[in-house]
Amino acid sequence: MRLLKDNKGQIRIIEAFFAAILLLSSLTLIPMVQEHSTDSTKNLSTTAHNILMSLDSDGYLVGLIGNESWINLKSCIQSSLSPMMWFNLTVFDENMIRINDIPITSGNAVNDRIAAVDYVCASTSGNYAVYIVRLQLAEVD
Amino acid sequence: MKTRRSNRRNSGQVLVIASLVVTLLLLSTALYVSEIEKNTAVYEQRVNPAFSAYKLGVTHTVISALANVSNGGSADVLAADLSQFKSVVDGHSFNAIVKMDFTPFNTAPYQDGVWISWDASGRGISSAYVSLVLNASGTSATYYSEYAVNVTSEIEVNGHYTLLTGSLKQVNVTCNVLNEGKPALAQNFTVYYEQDGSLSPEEWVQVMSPSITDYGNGTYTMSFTAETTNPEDPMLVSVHSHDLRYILTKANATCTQV
Repeated sequence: MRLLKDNKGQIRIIEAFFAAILLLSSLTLIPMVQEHSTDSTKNLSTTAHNILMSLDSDGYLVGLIGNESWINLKSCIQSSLSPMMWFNLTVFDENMIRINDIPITSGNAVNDRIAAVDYVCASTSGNYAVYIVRLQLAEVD
Repeated sequence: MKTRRSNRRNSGQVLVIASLVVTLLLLSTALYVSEIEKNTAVYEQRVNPAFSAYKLGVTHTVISALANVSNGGSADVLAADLSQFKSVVDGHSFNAIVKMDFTPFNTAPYQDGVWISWDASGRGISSAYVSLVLNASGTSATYYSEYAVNVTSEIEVNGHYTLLTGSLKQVNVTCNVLNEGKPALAQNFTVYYEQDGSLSPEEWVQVMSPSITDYGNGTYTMSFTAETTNPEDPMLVSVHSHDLRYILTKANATCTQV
């Protein structure tokens, strides 16, 4: 009889432990979700960096900017990306004044998760100039 | 009997509260550890993509400055261009505080990071050398990189000639173009020869449309006829070359008679 009465307290303890385990396990899930979203943005940033670097490696990017060949620049970015990706590119001078007079984009953004990369590039010609290229990327859901 | 019953109920509640306190303690410890991890600088072997971009930017800046200096610009251009690049990088690094320090090489033969040697030994060098330190402090990591950027355009010229009639000579000049010690292509050549084979006074005659053969591996041959004042005058040639980066290199050579 006495043992039965004591069981009531023990069940509460077990209940409390279960609640604690439940709490802890739910908390461990939170960083995983955050990490996943950070990883996808990081991948987009790396892709943007790689595209701009490969275009800039032989001075081609600065050449296109210097000649204001925005259509060719758009084609270059477009051919470097998969069709399932949205992009928007803006070229600024060193005073952050926008240079490209026409939009260099693949359309309207279709995803809220947009990664933006600011890339500083310098000309190789005798007439020195520095440009800041902002490439925004997003994956189409 | 009543008192004992209430005591037993209370002991259960106390245990529940105690377990909650333990849970809170555990959670706060976990949070504390994660916050500490965030603030700690992480040493990463992986190259920061922004750093590679900055390095490329500095290389382009040095190429631009060398193209400017070799074509008659001031030697101060290198420092001025690097300062311009540094100010843009410092002002537009949003993810981290980037500190860039550059030092133009000042050890002989370099002066203010530039070395131009266009002598009569058949070898011409236009070179720029800058050492750079990049330091970036971000919210989750700190990066440090130290490297040097060396841009060198070089030509090696040698030639021979055969006497035609009188003081008319058939000259064949071979020119090797090198960028950073590796074979490279040239954009254009201008060839001169000395009128009387003597450099005092210098009377260079430009060869109009010499026959240039491009072997595609950085080797070029130039053939032309030249008329010196006297048949026995030595054949001094001067080759001026712009490589694909528009860096000018000059080299003078004395051709041998065959």
